[in-house]
Amino acid sequence: MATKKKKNTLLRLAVHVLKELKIIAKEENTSVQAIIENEYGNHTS
Amino acid sequence: MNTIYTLPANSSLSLKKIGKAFTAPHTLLITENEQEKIKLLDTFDSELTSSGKLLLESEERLLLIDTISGTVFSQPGNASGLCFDGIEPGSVQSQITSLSKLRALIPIATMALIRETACMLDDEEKTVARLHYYVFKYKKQSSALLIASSLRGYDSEFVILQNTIQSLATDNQASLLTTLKIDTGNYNPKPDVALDPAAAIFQSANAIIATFIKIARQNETGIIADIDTEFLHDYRVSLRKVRSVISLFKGVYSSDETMRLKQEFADLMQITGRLRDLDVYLLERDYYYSLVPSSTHTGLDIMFNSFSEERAQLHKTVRKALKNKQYKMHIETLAAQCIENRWLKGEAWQQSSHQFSCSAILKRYKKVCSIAGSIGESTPDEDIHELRIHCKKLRYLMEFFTPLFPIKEIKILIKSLKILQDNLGKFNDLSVQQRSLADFLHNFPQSDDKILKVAESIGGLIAMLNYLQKKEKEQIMANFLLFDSEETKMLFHELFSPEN
Repeated sequence: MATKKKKNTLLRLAVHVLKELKIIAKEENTSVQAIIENEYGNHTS
Repeated sequence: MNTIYTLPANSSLSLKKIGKAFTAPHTLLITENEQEKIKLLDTFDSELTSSGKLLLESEERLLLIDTISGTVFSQPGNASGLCFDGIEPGSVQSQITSLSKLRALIPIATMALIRETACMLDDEEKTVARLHYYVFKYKKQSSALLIASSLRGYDSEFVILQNTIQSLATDNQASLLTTLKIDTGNYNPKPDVALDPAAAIFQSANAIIATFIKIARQNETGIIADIDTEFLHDYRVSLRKVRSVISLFKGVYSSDETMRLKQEFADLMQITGRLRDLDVYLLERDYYYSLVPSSTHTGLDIMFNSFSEERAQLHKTVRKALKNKQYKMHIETLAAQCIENRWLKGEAWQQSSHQFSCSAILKRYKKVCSIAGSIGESTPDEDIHELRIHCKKLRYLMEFFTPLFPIKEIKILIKSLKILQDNLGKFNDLSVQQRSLADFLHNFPQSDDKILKVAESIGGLIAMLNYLQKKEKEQIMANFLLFDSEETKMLFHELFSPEN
């Protein structure tokens, strides 16, 4: 049950983050993927 | 946020130079470098460039640069020769929705464009700002646009970038098109003709007529090339204004001269009348289809095909007529006579323009009010047509003389009149359409076995148009009450009393 709750919280958070990133990507005329690669690319491993 | 710099002609700035000017930890990475031949597109009346938008077309792509906000949009497709509805949906198309639906985009200039894109990187090689550099080469001129775009969270880096650019180049005050010496034509179908209130009305009338003959002539090439339907429309509106001056400015020209000029300009317009009617039907095509059930669409197909064929034939005739030497000589002579004040004067020619305009407008206004006041549900259509014609004359008079009166007040009156006129115009269109649809049916070969289908469609259409016309009549009465307010009445008398 605890895992299910955690999953739900994380998913809700992820959806929110994605929405925000989409807004930024539109503003900067780029894609969400490009933003993630730019900002987080060096840390994915 | 974007900052846009218009760089002077033959500027020596390049992205490499900006890159070299950066100090550690920032570097510049050039990601794209392309050169292509492009066409600058705009409508004949410069709708895009006058609002700071550059629409560029390469072989299979459209690029839109908003030179005010510094935003750039791109989409696949073409736009040359197309009206707004013909352009494929995309990011460029969605930015130009304000474009007139009737105007086609035409190439204004063919240029070479060098596009460079670069990213400003920090020590972690993250992109912290972007740069777009466009160099335009047209004939022997060149100019460039540099757009710097900030990324969220990197404000201080953007300031560094802006400072670096400013240390290397100064922003050119002139616009890109001025620097490139590209002439956008400056076409304005509704100019305010500069008038002197004290000048003789004869002078003012000639100045107005000369202006509108010139506007009509500017449209000739577009009509011949059949670019869009607005060329013919503007051509006819301009010549109609010329005719209005001749007939409304009573006593300015001698009565014989007035008769002669009326006839000459009527003849000039006569050759294009039917072509404009057909343009209107063809533009309303979708609307007609929506008015009647789809079971009757076959008849409409037959009718519209016949209209299209007739239009193609008529356009050839009109094209030939406008290219004809005799036509050119005729209209050039009329224009020259007018500019040189050679038309014969009438008894009122010396009246001051201000005095003449006041009495002409007030007289026409009173006439409109007296006709409109008697309009009710049982008024025959002919009376409404008469009201429409007087309203039109009143509007033209007010528009011609706008420069002689306080702009704010006269615009209010013109606007209030325009609402009423729009209703009257629709009412008239609906009535003309019913008549000409009936004519079409009447002239359709009786032996043709398609006649039943055609009759069914046209019958349905006429019934619908008649219904819409009745609705419009109700609107006319409602809007006239608005126009006939005490406030409007006072404003009219105040503004157009010759003593003021």
